[in-house]
Amino acid sequence: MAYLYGGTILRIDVTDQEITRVPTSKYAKQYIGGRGINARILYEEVGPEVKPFDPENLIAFGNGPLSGTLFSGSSRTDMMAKSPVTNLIGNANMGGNWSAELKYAGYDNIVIKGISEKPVYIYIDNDDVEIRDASHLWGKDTYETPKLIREELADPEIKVICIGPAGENRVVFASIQSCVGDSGARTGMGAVLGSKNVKAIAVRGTKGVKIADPDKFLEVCREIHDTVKSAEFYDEVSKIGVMDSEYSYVLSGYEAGGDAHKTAPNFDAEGKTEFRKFWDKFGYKRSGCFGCPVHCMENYRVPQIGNTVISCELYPQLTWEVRNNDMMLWYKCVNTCHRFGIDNTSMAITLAWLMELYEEGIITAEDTDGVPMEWGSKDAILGMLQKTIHREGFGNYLADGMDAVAQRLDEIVPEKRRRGKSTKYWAMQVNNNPMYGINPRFNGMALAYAIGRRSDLIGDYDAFQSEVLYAPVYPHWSDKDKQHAVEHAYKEAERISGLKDAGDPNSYNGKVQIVSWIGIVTGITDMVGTCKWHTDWLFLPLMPEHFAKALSAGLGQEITGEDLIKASLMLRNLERSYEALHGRTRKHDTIPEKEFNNPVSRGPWKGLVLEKDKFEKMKDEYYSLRGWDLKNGIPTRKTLEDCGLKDVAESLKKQGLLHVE
Amino acid sequence: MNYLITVDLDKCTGCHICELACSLYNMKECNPEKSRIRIVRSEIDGLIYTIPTLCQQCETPMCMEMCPIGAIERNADTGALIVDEERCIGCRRCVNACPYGAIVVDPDTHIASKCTLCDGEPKCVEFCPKDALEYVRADRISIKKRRESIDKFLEYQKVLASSSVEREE
Repeated sequence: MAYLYGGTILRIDVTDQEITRVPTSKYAKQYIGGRGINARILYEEVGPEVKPFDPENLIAFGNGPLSGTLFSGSSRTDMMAKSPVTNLIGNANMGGNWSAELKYAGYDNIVIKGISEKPVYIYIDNDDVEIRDASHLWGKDTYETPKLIREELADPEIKVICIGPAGENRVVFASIQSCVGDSGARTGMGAVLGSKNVKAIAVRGTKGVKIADPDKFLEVCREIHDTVKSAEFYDEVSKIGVMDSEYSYVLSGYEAGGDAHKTAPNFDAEGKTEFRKFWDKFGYKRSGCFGCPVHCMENYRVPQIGNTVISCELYPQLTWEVRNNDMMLWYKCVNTCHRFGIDNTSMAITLAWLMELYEEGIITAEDTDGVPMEWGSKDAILGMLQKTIHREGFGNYLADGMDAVAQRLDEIVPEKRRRGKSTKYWAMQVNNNPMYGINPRFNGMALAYAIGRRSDLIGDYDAFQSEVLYAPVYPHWSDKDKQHAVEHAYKEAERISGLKDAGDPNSYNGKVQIVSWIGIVTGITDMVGTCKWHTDWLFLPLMPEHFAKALSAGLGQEITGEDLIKASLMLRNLERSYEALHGRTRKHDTIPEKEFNNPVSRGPWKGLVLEKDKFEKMKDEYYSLRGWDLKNGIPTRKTLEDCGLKDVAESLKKQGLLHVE
Repeated sequence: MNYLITVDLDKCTGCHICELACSLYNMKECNPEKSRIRIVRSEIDGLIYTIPTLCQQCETPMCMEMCPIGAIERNADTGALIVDEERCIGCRRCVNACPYGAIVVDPDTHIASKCTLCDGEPKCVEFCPKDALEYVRADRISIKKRRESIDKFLEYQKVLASSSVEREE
């Protein structure tokens, strides 16, 4: 492990404060790094009998061989644990500066197990690792915590990731926050860290990353930076981020409310969105993660409320998803999510569900602490957010996730009012994980949600379709631009799937191939420790070959794009097998029943329908492509042995889950 | 004529790419700790502030003045102040003298390390994705600054004009 890697996996048992070191070489050849190594360790050590908040559950953090290098977007930290939301794989991935610093300290992954008696934080200073008392940090938010740690250790260069009060309170969708603006927010990683009484991990590393062929690596990186910067989408994303595209998603019916939302705000006469106006008024500057030329994040300064760094899904969730038109309320909520360490998506989708139940007359204010769950209501949105963070009143149920809320409501709401159904029927969730707002009635999205490796779509996102979907509503574009965008999307969809009509939202053709490809590419970025935004996932042009070229020059050994694709497929099979061992089968790969055969209600795609039988056929096609048995959606022996996972096949067999030998 | 690296603070996003390009080209590894340009970063109440700091190739270089053995000399072609690695004894007088923290003694080689302008093709400038760093002819830096102030003035005039139109309406 002379090159690109830190060389060591750090293992910490916080119960007895035991610190051990394992050479990364044990895993690196097959699992590469980041999510790959995390998944293998989770598979080996956390069985179905372990509950998410047990000391035996672990939380693993990993960078990857390209983290901390000059490669474009070399900033990512992947984290994995058994999820308190889904009871399956929990996985989140974040940017910031921490990933590179960890590498510079000499570590590729950190695995934390056990439960500390008292609150602690972990301090890593190159080779020195210390578990320190965090009693004085407990209860502090994620803005104060890094500051206090830097003061205490008298080192302003320390990089910190930490949880806020939500993680301490084990709110199941609590996040882990990195420095400023980056969150590992999905599937409750903050709750797992909180359950271990670990407040933060502070790192200082000065060792750098050794490169086998530095001159060649510099050349490769130059080509890669040029490739990213010359992409058509780069100009927009680096200047205004994705705030306009997010808005267009809402308008086109592609995002917000799972289509429950029948009206949407519009661009103003000058083509400006509410977000743009907010940015013009309160924007401070753009920023980005370590090593990234894209800088997709907006820094805001708002008097009285405070500062927040915002990007991507933070825009549409606590606004249109809950029909909130008050930008100040939205900003206050996002600021609260960051500071207190909670996933804004899960919160928004959970609130939107309660609001729909309220609108439909299924629940009343009485059921939710006397707060009427009206669309856009400040008491309902900010009030419930605060109650959830602190587990007060009805917030105590919200903090335990959608299943817990549904159970509570089903107890107190008469069956007749629920129309004989569980309140969960109206919840937008996959395996208890609140879905992103993106509308699952578009078939590619539906598939990505259903087979998603962490029960949501974002990792296997069908990006190309979005351009087709939102082009009609994009106000800055002339008809010619719109035509160009649609043609571009069709062309890209055809490139990936090999099918001419793959870009057509009405067609079921090619969607499986696209979702499969995006899953492969994002698997690669998660393993090498770079940002998926630079790939097909978001119209930027990095391909497996680019990663392979950099790895080859950096490691001094030949690696091909094909090798990385194989590794990514191996990872998918490993994660899928793990979930199968934890009870996931074909029937869990679905979206809320109410979304089938229910036409899109507004926007340019009004009337589009997701047909259940065709959806099931897409699943068949996806399973066949992956080499999984059609009946259960579990990898076959041949699939597993072909990718070097013979031992995984054996453990599936032992549990009677290897349905096809 | 000498060229210098200039910094536009408004454009810098704090991505550290300059540090990575510098250390990879000059020190053959990716390591901000070994970069001759450094991004100083502060996170205050949820906001990121970053400032690139680097050698100004001063006209009266304190590093050169203070060096007890005269190991720092100005390169006639580029104007960069260059450390003679054979002669440097790692005494850190230059480190203490530099007002910018732009010269360090490398913990591995034990000799002083500073910006050489990459022999006239600075890698930090080349890789900066926001053009926050520019390689500018030394005598033109102030021209650029002056032009910037008139641009701001014209912008202000435009705002004034548009608001007076609004008032008339």
